[in-house]
Amino acid sequence: MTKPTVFLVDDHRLVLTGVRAELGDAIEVVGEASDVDTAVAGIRRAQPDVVLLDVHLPGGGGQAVIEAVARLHPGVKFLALSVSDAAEDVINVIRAGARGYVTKTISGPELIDAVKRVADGDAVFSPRLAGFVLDAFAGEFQGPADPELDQLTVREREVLRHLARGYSYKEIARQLSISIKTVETHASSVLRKLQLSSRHQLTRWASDRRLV
Amino acid sequence: MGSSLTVAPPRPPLSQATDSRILAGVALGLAQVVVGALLVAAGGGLYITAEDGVGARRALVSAAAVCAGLALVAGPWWWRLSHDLASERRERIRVQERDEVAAHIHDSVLQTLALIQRNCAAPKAVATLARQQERELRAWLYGSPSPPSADESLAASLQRVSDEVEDLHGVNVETVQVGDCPVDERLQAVLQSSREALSNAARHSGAKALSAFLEVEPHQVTVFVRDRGCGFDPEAVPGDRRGIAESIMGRMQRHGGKAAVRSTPGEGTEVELVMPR
Repeated sequence: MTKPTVFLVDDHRLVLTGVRAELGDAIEVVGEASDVDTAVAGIRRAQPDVVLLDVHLPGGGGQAVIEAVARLHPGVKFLALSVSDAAEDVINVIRAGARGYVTKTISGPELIDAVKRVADGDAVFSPRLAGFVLDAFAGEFQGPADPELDQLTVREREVLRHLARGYSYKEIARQLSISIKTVETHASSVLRKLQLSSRHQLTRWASDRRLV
Repeated sequence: MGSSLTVAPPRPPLSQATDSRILAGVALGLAQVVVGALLVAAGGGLYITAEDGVGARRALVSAAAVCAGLALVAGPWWWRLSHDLASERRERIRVQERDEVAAHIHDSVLQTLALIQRNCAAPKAVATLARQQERELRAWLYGSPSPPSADESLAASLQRVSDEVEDLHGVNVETVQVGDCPVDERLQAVLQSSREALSNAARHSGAKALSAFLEVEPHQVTVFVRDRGCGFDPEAVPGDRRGIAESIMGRMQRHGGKAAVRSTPGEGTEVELVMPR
C-alpha cells in the first residue's frame, strides 16, 4: 500500500511538531494549518487522504473544518485528535463526519495505525470514545425509533466494551473468535449510527456531560 | 524485584481464662446454687406451715423467697449463655475487621515501603512517599473520614484512584467510565480492589500505560483493569503474596462480589471486578 498523505490541523505548534515526528516515515505529511480558514484552504489545495485535526481550533473548531471541506471533497477523511475529553466536543466532531477520535496521549505506532485505518475507510475508536458511545446509547430510546440507527446490537456493544477496556481490533477478534474484518464492520456500523441516529439524547447527553 | 510482601498478622488464642479464675467462678456458682436452694426450701416451708389468719403476708414472703432463690440458681447460667453468644459475635466481627485492616495495611503501608526500597537512591522521592503515606495513615487511623467523601460519585472516585496511582507510580492510566452512581460500602470495596489492581499492574507489569474501565448497569457494577505488560502465570503466584488473593479476591468476596484475574505471560493482565447492586 502506498503511504497515506496527511494534513495536520492544530493551533499548538508543539503538537504539530510532535505529531510530525511521531508519524515519521510511515506517513507523508502534505501540509499543516493552525486555524479554520487556512486549514480549509490548505486541505482543498493538498487533497490529502486523511486530515488529522484538533477538536478545538480558533474560528469554529474541527467541526467547522469538516463541514467546509466534506461536501466538496467527500474523498477526504477526518480523524480527530484532542486533549479535550469533553463528550460534547467529541460527539459533535464525529457527527460532523470524522471517522474516529484519538487522544493526544496515543503512542506513535498507534497513531500511525489509526491514520492508516481511517485512510482505508475504517472507524477508529479510542477507549474513551467507545465509552462515550456506550453511555450515549444506554437506556431505552423514547419516541419514534429507527432500530437500525437508534440502537446498538448486542455484538456492537460487546465490541465497544472491549475497545473501552483498551483492546485493539486484533485482540478483540481473537477474544470473540471473529475475524478482524468483522470487528471493523461492527466499528463502522457503530460510527454510522453515531453520525445518523436521531437520538436526541446524544446531544443532550453530551452537553450534560460537559459539567463533569 | 526482591521485595516479598509477606503479611501474617499474629492471631492470638481466642480467650485466655486462667485456671484460678475458673476455680473462683466454680466456687461462686456453687455457693449461689446452695443459697438459692435454701431460699427455695425456706419459702416452701413457710407456705406449708402458714395458718389461715397470718397466711396472706407469709404467703407473699414465701413467694418472694422462692423467686429470689430461682433467680440465684438460674441467673448465672442465663447470664453466661447470653454473654457467650455476644462474645462469639464480637469475635466474628473482630476477625472480619482484622482482615480489613490487614488488607488496608497491605494496600497502603506495605506498598509504600516497597516503593521506598526501590527508590532508596532518591532521597527526595522517598521523603515524598513517606509524607504521603503518613498523611494517609493518619487520616485513616484518627477517623477524619477518609478521602472518598460521602457525596463523591463512583466515577469521580475511580478517577481519583487512577490519578493517585498515576502520581505514585509514574504511569498513565486511561480511565473510561460508562454510567455512574453513589458510592456505598460495597462499592468502596470495588474502589479499593481497583486501586490494588492498578498498583499491582503499575509495579509488576512493566507497562507504562494502564486501562481502567467502569460500567454501571442497573443490576451490577463492573470494573476492568488492564495492562499490556509482562503478564504472569496465575498458578505460580506464591501463597504469601496477599495482593491478589486477599486485597482483590478476598475483599470482593467479603462484600458479596467476585473478581477474576486473567493473565498470559508476555501479553499482559486483566482484572475483572463485578459487584451486584
